[in-house]
Amino acid sequence: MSHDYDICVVGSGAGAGPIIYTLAHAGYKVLVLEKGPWYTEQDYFKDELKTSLRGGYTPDLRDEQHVVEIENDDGSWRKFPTYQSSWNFWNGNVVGGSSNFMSGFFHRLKPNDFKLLSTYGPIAGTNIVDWPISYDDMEPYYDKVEKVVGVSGRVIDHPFQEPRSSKDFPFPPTAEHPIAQHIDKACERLGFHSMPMPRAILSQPALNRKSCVYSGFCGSYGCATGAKSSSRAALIDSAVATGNCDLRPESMVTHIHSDHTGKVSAIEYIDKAGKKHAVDAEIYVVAAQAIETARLLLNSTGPKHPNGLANNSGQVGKNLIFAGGGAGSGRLSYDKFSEEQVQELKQFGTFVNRSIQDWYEIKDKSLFKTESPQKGGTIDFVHLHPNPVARANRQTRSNGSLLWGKPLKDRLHEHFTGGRYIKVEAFCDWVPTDNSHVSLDPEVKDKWGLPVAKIKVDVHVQNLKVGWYLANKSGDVLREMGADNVLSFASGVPPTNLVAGSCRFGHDPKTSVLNPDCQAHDVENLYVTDGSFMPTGGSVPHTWTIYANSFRVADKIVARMGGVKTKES
Amino acid sequence: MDRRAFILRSSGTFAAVSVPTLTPLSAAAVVKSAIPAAQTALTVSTSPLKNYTEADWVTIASVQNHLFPSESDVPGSVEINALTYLYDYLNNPATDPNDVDFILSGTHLLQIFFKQKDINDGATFNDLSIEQRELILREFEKEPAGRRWLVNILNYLLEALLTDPVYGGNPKGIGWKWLEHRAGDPHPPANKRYWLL
Repeated sequence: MSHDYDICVVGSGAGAGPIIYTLAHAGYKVLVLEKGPWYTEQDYFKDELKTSLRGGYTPDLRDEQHVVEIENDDGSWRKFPTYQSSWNFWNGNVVGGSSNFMSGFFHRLKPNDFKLLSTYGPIAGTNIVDWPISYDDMEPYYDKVEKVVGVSGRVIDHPFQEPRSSKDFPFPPTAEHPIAQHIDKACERLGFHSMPMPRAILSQPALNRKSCVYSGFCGSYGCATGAKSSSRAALIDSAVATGNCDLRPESMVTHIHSDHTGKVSAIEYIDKAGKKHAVDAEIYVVAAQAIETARLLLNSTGPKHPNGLANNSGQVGKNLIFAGGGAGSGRLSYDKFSEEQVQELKQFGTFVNRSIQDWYEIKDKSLFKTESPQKGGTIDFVHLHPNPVARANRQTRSNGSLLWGKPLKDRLHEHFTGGRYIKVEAFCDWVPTDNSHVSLDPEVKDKWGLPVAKIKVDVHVQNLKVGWYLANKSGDVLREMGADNVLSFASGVPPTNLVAGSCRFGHDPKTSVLNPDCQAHDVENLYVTDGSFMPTGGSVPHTWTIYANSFRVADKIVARMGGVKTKES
Repeated sequence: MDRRAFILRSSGTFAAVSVPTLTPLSAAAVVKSAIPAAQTALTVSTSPLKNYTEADWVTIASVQNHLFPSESDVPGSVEINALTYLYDYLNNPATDPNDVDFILSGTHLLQIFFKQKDINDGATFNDLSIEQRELILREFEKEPAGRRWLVNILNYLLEALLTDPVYGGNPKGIGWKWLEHRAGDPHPPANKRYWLL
């Protein structure tokens, strides 16, 4: 039976790019349907308004929003549409998805992250499970991401280093800010192990891309040089160049049709002009990010899928997870340092690039009431985000009142010129629960008349315990560095840019949506390759693992389709 | 002269006269001399800002200068083109009409709030002394709607201070220089401002 394409991919971010790249280079005809526009390096500027204040890379919430459901203090739940709130779960609807806007703090998962339940045991009120694959299954693909997508870093002798098949990173570390030395010295005095943080940013020209130019504006910003290892810059541009990849931007997939056998038969989408299209392929891959993937599947009912595609066990949308847990900040006030040190601290553009994973596993009976080790997490040290309007706006509150006039101006001047701020992001292993999931909202629809995703967000006390533990440790480091104004705290607020789960993979169709190859249990020609597949998230940002898993699944699909058809150029 | 030209001219005029530290901005006279209503009625009839009057702009400009006053060596609302910046934002078709309505309704709320205070019969907010303005705005802040409006006015002031000059505020990077802020490259060109890309 002939098809329009060999493979049709919905989405173009980190979960889609490796599929697109691998299949196109293997000689298969690939169609990519991306909801957002196709921007290139020439379209990305250091523009806080577009990037952060006007939602320039995400849909207008008047047209497309989500509904969020959160718990009140009394245990009841309330829900609200995001247009009427400060919440926004969109993360970059452009070719390459949110990988265009990541900071590229890249960490692998560790071997125990693949067997969380059997290593640390159950936690009441959570749905923790082991993964159906091991670290050894994923390691070759972590390695592939380093080389093909581009990860810069430096391997050091370190007690928490995960096993590696390559001795070191293929690209040297990105340039480091002198503040990294302050962190190293403080950690050494405290007996902690600071480690260089790998970055998905090219430190030198390679892979037909330019090097980082250290503009000082990286996270949240699209890269103007191509150094950031976005799915578009690293993979899709190359896939398109093969001639085997047909990329259709501004194409909103509205329904995945399935036939009487339960297989996907066609994908329906609406183009920029509002015209409806349908295409078919032999294999379909959905990678629209955890929330929108679940929503699309739930909206795509069919004769064998009355509750949504691949949802015959009711698992689509369940067990949504995030990456986060704690935060902190401190300021190195210039009046405490020598003039030479101040000039170093004022250096702009280079990266902090320091992490601590000493508490990736925590043994603390006073906190956890058990002698058994508990899963802990990662501390990343980063610059305070340089967005000046956001920084200035945070100075407009004082003891519950608004600050204005000369007092505001004095505070602004002191904030911007009196010291160097350093920030901490702490990542626990955000546990999956019954109360964190995606469903279809029964009332709110988008501009196409489709039900929007309702995101119910639960915060388990385990996240907060670990978050506090890590935050307190980070506060110790900041104070040892000589920082003042040190703040550190756990946070139950889910980071809306680091989302996974919702279509977890596993062996049992009753408790998972996908099999170990990320193929839907009950839809033979459907795969899901974004962060949806993750049953647990590790105590790190998810992106490296999403890239690696997508390369792993790509190899499975190529093998299924008969192997590589052409030699890569 | 359309409203946009008026705003530009007004800002320039303000800049020329606003030197002393903490001197209240005298906007009303400038506005009245700068913009004959008959000339502007036609050009603004389809504008998102068609419901804004001269008095409204005077109120907004006066509040802006109170919240972010001009000083001899530090930029204030006038020097950062705050009124022009806000006008351009609200007049942009990409702007949510709710934002346009919100700023106007808050302005009207302040005007009504001020009248109820019965200060100097017939005076406008712009006629008040610095101390009187502070008193009124602090009381206005206690009203939830007043506080929300002030938060927004402050936000647009800070945007005018610190966003790229291509958007009309922060002329020649005056705000960045004052706060020693390093802006990144590349800067957005005029043909790729956020609503054009």
